[in-house]
Amino acid sequence: MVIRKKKIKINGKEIEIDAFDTSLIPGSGTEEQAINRLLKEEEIEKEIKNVIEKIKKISGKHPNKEKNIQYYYEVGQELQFVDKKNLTNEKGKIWQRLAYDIEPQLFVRKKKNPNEAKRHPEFMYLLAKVSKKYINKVSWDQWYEILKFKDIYKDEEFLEQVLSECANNNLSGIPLRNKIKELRKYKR
Amino acid sequence: MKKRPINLERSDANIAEQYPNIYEGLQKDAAQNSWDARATKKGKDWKLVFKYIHERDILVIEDFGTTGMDSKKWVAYQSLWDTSKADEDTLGARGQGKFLFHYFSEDKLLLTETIDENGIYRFSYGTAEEWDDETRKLQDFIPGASPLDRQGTRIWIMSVKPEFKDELLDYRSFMRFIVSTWWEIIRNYNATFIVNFDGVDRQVILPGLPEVLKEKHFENERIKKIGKIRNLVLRYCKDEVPEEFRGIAIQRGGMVILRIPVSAEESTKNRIYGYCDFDDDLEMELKKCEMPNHFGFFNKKAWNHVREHVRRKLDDFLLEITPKKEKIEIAADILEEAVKLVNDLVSEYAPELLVGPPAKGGKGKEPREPVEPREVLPVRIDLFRPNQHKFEYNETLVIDCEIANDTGDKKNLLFKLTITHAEGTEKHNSRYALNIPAESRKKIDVQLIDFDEEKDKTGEYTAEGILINEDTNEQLHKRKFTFYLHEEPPRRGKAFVAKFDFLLGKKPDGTLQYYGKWKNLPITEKGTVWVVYDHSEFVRIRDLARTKKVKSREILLYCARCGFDEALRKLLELRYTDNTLDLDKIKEIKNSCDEMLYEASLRTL
Repeated sequence: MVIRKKKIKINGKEIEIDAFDTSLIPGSGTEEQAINRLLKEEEIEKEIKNVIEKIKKISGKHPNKEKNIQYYYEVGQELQFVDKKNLTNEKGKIWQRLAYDIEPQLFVRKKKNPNEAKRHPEFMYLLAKVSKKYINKVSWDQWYEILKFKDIYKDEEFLEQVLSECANNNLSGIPLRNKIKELRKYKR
Repeated sequence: MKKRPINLERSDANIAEQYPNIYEGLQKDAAQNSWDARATKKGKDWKLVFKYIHERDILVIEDFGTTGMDSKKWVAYQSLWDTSKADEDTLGARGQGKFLFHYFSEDKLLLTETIDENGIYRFSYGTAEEWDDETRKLQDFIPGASPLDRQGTRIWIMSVKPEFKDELLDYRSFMRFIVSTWWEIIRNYNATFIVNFDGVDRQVILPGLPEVLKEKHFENERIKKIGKIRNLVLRYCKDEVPEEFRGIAIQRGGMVILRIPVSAEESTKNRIYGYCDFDDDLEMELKKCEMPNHFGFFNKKAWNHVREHVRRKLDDFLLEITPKKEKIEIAADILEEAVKLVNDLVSEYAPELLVGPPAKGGKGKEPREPVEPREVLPVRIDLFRPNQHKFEYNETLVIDCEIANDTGDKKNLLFKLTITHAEGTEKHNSRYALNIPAESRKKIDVQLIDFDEEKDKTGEYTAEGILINEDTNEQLHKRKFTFYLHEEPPRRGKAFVAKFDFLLGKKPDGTLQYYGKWKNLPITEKGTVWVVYDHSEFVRIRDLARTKKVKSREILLYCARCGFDEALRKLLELRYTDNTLDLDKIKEIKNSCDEMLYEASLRTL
């Protein structure tokens, strides 16, 4: 239920458009529902445009965005609108709209494929769920690995353990991932 | 607090959504309740006052010359959808109007005072969900206010919602709503309406209407066995009639329920007004099929017959005023399913366009080559189509039928109509003798067909029209259509438009795509019409809609228009390709598409 870029053929010519997900099928008996979905898509698009304006302001404060943990955290706070507006089920498509269709430069330097582009807003969104006191305890790369574990930010005790492992043993990448898996096993 | 004795699943907001205009609805419901309660039949000393008290932010509705509410009426008043009034000789029937009043209050709070004929004072306060008439008094809510001290009723709508104030307190438009709805009782009974929204009492008076050039007055015309139209008055004026009076007002108990729009060119239709009222029998039948918001009627027998009768008289009247009617206007009010009509109407007007993909539920056959256009006979049944393809018992089949004579001779013709059930039982049989001058057309007022649960079987029916030369007995033309009674029609195999998709015409940076100024992209090979969602016209239409329901209708109607435009474009392309496109053909195709739009509005009115 989110607008996205799409290529279509009109009169034999391929064009790229911003298309709504919803179709209205005459005579299907579902016209009313389709219109409700259409209006919802319009609403989501407005939310996306709003958040982009806010992110642009944050971007102004951080000329260097690459792996800038502060920037990621602040943008992540704005991205919490998906929870507030009850759009959590649509967040994958919203990230794609933000980071692939409309303003890729606010999220990654180059416009990559949609799946790659989505990862950055998702990371930002998860990072902002972590208590601020932990943010600067580990590096951007370490957070990137840590937050791949679902709901890890919800268990602060476990998170502190992971952070301390990171700091003491300077873990990152695959070794860090394995360590977290191991700690999880013990926890169980 | 006492729970209201009803199921309140639908809130005041849901009720408000049923109203095409809540400000018009407010005065309509208030006056309807009050006029129902008038103390004398002719409304002696009846008065209704709408007053806004700025310093307290309260809208007060107070009536005079009414009976007030006794204990029975008091309990009914506190209920929602108490339908006990439906069989009475009163205007209201569903008891939901006052719930619109709650909708106007920020905290949904309504205070009501009434004194009945025995001088008993009653006071209640409450929201849409609960009310009480025992524990508190008026002064607890409005310190210093004097209680009602005479027979009648006074309603206080507390803390009017700020977002409604601008429109509600525009006293000119509010008075226009009153005069256009209640002109009959103001004229006949001197009913008094006072509006005071800015400290000044203003009485609603009838405006002067332009000089009448031509008038038709039909009296006591029987409508089947249901009852009589007491008066049908049609007037054509020298100058334009004020907008709120245009069309033919359908009156019930002194109130305008709706106005049947005139289908003619702008300069003509803006100068026509009229009204229609009924005898007691027909009025009672119409009341039964009236919508709870008093803004229209359901598709039921009594209303269908009245509407068709008025339309036919109006068509004749138009013919007398202007030799040729222009059927190009589309009524603003159109039902949600207008989009469905795109395919139905394209199949009737331009079957050669049905070469696209199968409709949803179709058999998925390969697209076929475009069919040859049908041969146009010089004497023919030019129009022969039903108002809808599926009927329920109690609904009415209206056949639109027109005969064309393109020859240079006058023709004596006979038109035979038969309606037969798929199992062979004959439902209807009628004949119409016609005398059609050279190079002219004639509309046949085909008898309206009702369906009776006890006599008529469910299922598929076929209506067949045969045109015969009465002098030679030669059959000249035959046309038919099928329809379904109390049964879903099968889906059509082919459709012109398979679906509508939506796209943005503006780029994320705000600049326009090359198609940004188009309403839609050309229809694709798969039958998809891409509608430009942020086209300024589409945005304007959505913004104008006050309720979600109206917005849905407008979106569907807009899509239907895009579909018809595509049909127009495709037809022009086809005719251009087969080298038959000339100026007359262009006009003919344009008219066909206009007629599709016109039909869309008529079938769904």
